[in-house]
Amino acid sequence: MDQPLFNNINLKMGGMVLKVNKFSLKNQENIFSWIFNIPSIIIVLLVMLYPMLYALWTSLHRYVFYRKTMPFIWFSNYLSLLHDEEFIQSAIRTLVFATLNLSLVILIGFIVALVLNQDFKFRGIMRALVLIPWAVPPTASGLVWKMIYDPQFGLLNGILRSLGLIQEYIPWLAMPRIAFVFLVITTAWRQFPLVAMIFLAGLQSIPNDIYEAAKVDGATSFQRFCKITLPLLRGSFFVVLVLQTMFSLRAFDEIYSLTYGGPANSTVTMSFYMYFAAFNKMYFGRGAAIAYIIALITLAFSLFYIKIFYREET
Amino acid sequence: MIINNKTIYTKLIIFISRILIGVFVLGPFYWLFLVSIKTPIEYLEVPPSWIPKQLYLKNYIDIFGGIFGGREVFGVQIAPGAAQSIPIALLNSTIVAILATLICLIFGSFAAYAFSRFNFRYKNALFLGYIITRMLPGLILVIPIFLIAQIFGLSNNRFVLAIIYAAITLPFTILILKNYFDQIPYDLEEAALIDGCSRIGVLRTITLPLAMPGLIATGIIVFMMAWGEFFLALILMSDNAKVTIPVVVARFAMEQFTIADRGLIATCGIVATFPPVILVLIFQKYIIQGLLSGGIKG
Repeated sequence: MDQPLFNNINLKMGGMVLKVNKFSLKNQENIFSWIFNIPSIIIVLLVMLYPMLYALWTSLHRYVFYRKTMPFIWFSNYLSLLHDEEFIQSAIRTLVFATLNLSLVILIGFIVALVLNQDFKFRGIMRALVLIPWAVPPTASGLVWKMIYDPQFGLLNGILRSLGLIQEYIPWLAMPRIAFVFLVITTAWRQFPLVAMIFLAGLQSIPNDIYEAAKVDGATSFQRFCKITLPLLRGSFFVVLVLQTMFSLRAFDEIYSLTYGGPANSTVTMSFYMYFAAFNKMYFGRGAAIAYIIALITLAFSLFYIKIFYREET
Repeated sequence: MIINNKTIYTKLIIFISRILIGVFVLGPFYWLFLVSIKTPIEYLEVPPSWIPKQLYLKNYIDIFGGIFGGREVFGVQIAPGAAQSIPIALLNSTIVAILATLICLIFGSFAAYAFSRFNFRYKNALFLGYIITRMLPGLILVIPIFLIAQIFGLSNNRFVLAIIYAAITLPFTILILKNYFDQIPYDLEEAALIDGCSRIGVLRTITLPLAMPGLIATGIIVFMMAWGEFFLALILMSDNAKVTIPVVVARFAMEQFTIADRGLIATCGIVATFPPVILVLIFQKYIIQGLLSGGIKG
């Protein structure tokens, strides 16, 4: 099979026939692989790696856009953030948001996966429908739910009023606590389909024989669930935790379109604080520092999950 | 008897949960659609009507009427202003998303093919590099990309935005497509190579057609991401002629308390959501397959 491969190279390289013929198959694979990879590498380097380093450089400077000078200030941007009351507040808020978001998304996603894992008539249609929120642009999902929470004609007010639970329409998003919870629900609505699909993949990879064997041995359905389903889904749980922590720590789009940080800063998460610092106050060095802090927290969580799941295995 | 009762209860619970899931998923859309086709008087009614009394298409005509050139469509006067930004944004989003998808699929499939088929020096290091870039939060990119775009005058450029989206999704694309290529037996390609087919020819006539489900799934996911991405579009596309649809949606959502016409806002949401949702519904088989085959785990 060597011959045609060599012909191939000869055709491509015209005048370099002699030289190319000396190449071993291995060298040829090397060259092909790198030619195939170069476009991707260039794009990823230019658009991701270079900006990332640029952000690191920015975060070490007092980088204000309208000023000409950018003094190098070591880690002052990071240190000043630790003393910034508003930033600490936003960090706590982000962690609360992430916790609530994770719990809700995992709860809904898991239930949906369990339902979809059963055989029923409209299963295919249902599985397709469940994917819909995942396809919705994040800002649009903020808009959809803003329509539902609307103080003057929203669906939520309408339902509660029709049921006689409230007498007057309530401006939900004007109340800090409620706005925060509603933000969690809104993001969970868009994010649960992916989690449900991951769990579904995990559930379908569990062979049915195990359940049958347990049934024969007299295990109740609850026991089967706790002793078979949950332990075997550990891999899925790991993936979900890593991905969903990443998503919830960087939540931005829904906040922008649903509450824009309000009311009274009650929905300003770290990512939104970064947006304010960089694009309202033009403190780019500071903003870049916040972005790196978010990245570090994400990384810390990922390592934490790896440690937990790894220790359980040994 | 007791066992029988229990199964009835379980069945009932499962049935109810199915309906609840359906309502949770579709309810918000129904409400949005309802608002978009209600008259301004009707949607302010308390309590709300669940089925519109008349079909009111003025919002849709306001948005798309401009395309047909007239100031009047079907006898309805087109309102100037905000609605006009939507078709432009839809066009921009379509251009950006399709460009990003093409770039991503072409370059991604080349790289994934190399990873799947060849052994080469630094292969594992490169692969690890892609995995790490995939896991890094995109939030870090926002500020430097804005600054770089300002310095080199790259903002308000749809092609630049498409390349950025392609780059962000490339590592993910490579991981998924590699999985798909791995499933295609190499024997087929070897046979073609022996028959004198070129490497590129093999890729074009054998591997890519066989990997089509994977390409479709990945393509749709990239398209969706590029269609919905907001933060980078917000900071890069300030020109009204270049802005993409998520930015317009966010503007409409924020103006909810100042614009009286909620119908138009709801219509904007419907219009922005329609293309990706339709794509996902059409290709859901491939996408679920792609997701279930472990692509997300990569």
